Formats: sequence, structure tokens, C-alpha cells
Amino acid sequence: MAGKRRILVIDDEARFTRLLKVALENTGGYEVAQANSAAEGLAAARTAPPDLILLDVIMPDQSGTEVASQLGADERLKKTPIVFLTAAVPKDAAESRRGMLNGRPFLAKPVSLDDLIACIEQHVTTADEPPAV
Amino acid sequence: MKTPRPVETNAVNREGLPPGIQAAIPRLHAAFALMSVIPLLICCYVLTARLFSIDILTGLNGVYFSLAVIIALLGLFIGRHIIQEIVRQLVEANAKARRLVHELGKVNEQLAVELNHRKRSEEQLKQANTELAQRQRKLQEVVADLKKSHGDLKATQLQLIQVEKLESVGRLAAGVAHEVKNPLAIVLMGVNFLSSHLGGGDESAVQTLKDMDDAVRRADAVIKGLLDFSASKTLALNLEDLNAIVERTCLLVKHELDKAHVTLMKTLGENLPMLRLDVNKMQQLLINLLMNAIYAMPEGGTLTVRTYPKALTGPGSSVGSRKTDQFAIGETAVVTEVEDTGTGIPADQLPKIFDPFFTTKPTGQGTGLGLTVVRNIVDLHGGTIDVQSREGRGVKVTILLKVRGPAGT
Repeated sequence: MAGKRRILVIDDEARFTRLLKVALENTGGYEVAQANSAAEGLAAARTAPPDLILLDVIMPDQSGTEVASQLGADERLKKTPIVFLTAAVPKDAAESRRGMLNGRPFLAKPVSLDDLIACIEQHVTTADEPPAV
Repeated sequence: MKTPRPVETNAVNREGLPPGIQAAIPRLHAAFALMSVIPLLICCYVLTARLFSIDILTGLNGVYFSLAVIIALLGLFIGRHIIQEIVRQLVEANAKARRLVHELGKVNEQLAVELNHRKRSEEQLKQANTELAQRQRKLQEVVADLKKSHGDLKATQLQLIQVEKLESVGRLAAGVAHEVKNPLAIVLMGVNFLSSHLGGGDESAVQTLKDMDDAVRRADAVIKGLLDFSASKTLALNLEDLNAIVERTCLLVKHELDKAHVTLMKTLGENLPMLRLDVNKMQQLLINLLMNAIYAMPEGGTLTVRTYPKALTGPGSSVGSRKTDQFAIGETAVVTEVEDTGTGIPADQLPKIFDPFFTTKPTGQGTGLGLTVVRNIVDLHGGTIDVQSREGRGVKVTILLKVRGPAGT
């Protein structure tokens, strides 16, 4: 792994983002920025584009899918991998949809740290690879 | 000695005659006597006169002879009169008898009419009795039906109350799931973080964190069960390959199979028709069945999954022409069987296995909603489910699905 992965967590649950930041940074492989609203998350992503965004789906100001659309419309961020992370869809439903929601990878809360890291690594690595010609 | 004349016979004969004729008989006898005795006397007189050469036409003899002739003529006249009177009475008696016969005939006819009338009345009464008995039987049947309907209604009402309660629980669960899952996510993430932070140094701390991890997963499973239970009652139907769904589901439970040392045997029918299925719900159904089967084999065993088409040639528990029959005779169904070699289900528990919150698992290891969800999904697809258990030897679950998909889709 070349340098630390920059992860942006956008979730209205501040304790979760705080704990996730601590847990991921504790592994030594990640540098985590946290935002606790859609607007704050969009601003943070535009200010410092991350390597991957962990995005909650249900938030008070905007839904995660709307945030994903806005990020996809941003030229600098449209290739940034987004992993939805939400308590709204049960785990089996996520698995039966092959872990995809609106065409993006998906993790159901509560998720173990190992599963989270495996998912981040899978999608960050994919994004790091040069596009096939 | 002369035998006396049998008077009784005459008496008997006379008794049968009309009273007028009976009264005339003595006079008839007298008339005949007069008419026969007087000429006889004259003849005797004439013969005696001849014999003794007496001139009967002259002198005193002439007077006697004339008197005898006059008496004879008088006797004849009286006898004739008596006979005429008797004949007249006989004619009258005859006419009276005829009238009597005629009246008797009338009375007889009336009696016959009355008899017929009575017979008809009796028949009508009998018929009315029969109808009454039939009505009573029908009434008894109606009463029995009403009693049964009342019982059914009560059971349905209780079931509706239960369903309403469960749906309320389900709605509540769906509503709070998001709010509960977020704290669970924090706890799980915290437990994972602490586990990795502590390393393996403090065994009791590691065990505590593992117990916390298990507790979080258990709570998550309960919420998942309630969410499944309260899941939408509508289907997202598409033409699907059942075998492909079975294959994918078996992959999902592979880890559990390996962990429990369970051997998986698949016998998937070739050329199965495509079925109209909700793929997510069918996968959920199969996961529930496979996980139950794995749980029933704690010391390992064989889990067999079969799929095959089946022509329904004869009537069965849900095959026939009744409205309640899901399948018609002659229809082809697709069968899915999940069979284990586990502990089986005790016979007294078999009727309860589809009841919500009924579980044979120890507290904390099952929500009791797995098979309830399975049956709901089968019902939504218009299929049937049958569970056969051989206690101590395993369970076979058989699901029949329609080739043409659920009714109305």
C-alpha cells in the first residue's frame, strides 16, 4: 500500500464517524476525514478530494444518493469511489443485491471493521488501477 | 215318528226379507188355503153326489150346491184380493228396498269419497311429516354450519388480531431498525477497535469483547428477522432460473456448511422451466431453510437440495378443483426439496413450526420467524410447503411452485 488512503466518512451519526476514524487510523493505513451532514461532506470532498468516500444513505439534509449524484457530477470527484454505508437496508438484502445500491458498492450497518477494510481495499485498489485500454 | 220341520231355516230366510214381505207371508198362506180348500170341498161334494146319485141341482141339494159355489167364488175373490194386496206390498217393499239400496249406494259413495279424502289427507300428512323431517335435518345442518362458521370466525378473528399485532411489531421494527442499527454499528465498531487495540494480551478482556461482538450480532439478527417478517407483501416478479438461485444461495451459506462439517448434495433438475419469482425473496427463503438444516446437524451430516418438475396427476392436499386448491390436476409444478440428516422435529412441535416466534433453538439463537417468513414467501408465490420429519433422522421440506407464477401476475 503506497502511503495512507484518504477516506472521507459522511454520516450524521457523529459518534460513529469519530469511532470509525479512530479504528481505521489505528490500523496505520488510513487517514480519515469526517463530516456529519451532506452539505459538510460535499464541502469536505471538494476541498480535499479523498481516495474513497464512505457515505450514509439517510441523512437529515440530503439523502446519500443525492450526495452521490452531486459528487458524480463534479469533474474532480466523479471517479472517486463511493461506498454506501447505512442502517436502512438489512445485510441480507445488501448481499442479495450483490452489495450494490444505485450502481455503487454497499455495506449494511452494523459492519465489522474487517469487512469494512476489505470493502475499502477492494474498491480503492480498483480505482487505483489504470483504466483498461 | 215324523221329523219336525226345520223352523229355524225358514226363520233365517225370513230374517233376510224386508219387514213388509215378512208380514205378508201368513196372509199369503191363508189366501192359498182358502183358494185351494173351497174348490176341493166342492169337488168332494160333487163326487159324493155322483157316487150316491144325488141330484145336486134341485131341492135342498141345489141350495147347498149354490151356497158352496158362492162360498168358493167368495174364497177365490178374497184370496185374489189378499194376493193382490201382497203383490202390491211386495212391489212397495221392492221399491223401498231399491230406494234403500240407492241411498245405501249414495252413502257408500260418500263414504268412498270421504275415505279417499282421508287417504289423501293421510298422504299429505305423511308428506308434510317427511318435509318437516327434511327441514329439521336441514335446519340441524344449518345450525352445525353456523356453529362451524362461528368457530372459524373466532379462529380467523384471533388470527387477524395476531397478524395485526405482528404487523404492528413489524412496522415498529422497520421504523426503529435504522435507529437501532446505528448504535449497534457504533458498538460493533468500538468492540472491533478495542479488540485490535488490545491484541491478545488480556484474555478476559478479549473474551468480554468477543461476547459483546456476539451480542451485537444477535441483536442485529433479531432486527433482521423482524424486518424480514414485516417486509413488503408485494413481489418483484421476473422470469428466473430457480437452479441459479439455489446455486447462488448455496454459495452464500458455504462458510456455515464448512464450519458445521455438513456435506452438500445438489441434484438440480435439468431443463427446469423458467419461473416467475421474486429472486430476493426466494433467496431469503432458501437461506432460512438451509440455515435451519445446518443448525439441525451440529455434528455434521448431509444436506440435500433437489429441484425437479412434477406433473400433478392426481388429487392431493392442495391439488384438485376446489377454490382453495393452489394447483389443478394435470398442472406441472416445480419442486424444491431441502433434506437434512439432523435431529428432526418432535411430532408435537410439528404443527407449530410456522407460528411466529416459535423456535426450538436456545434463547438468543433464533428469532422464531425464519419458517414464518418462508411460508409467507411461498404463499406470496402461490405455492405450497410441506414439512416431513423423522425424529432423530432428519427433516425434509418440500416446496411446490407454479410454473406460470402466482395468480394474477
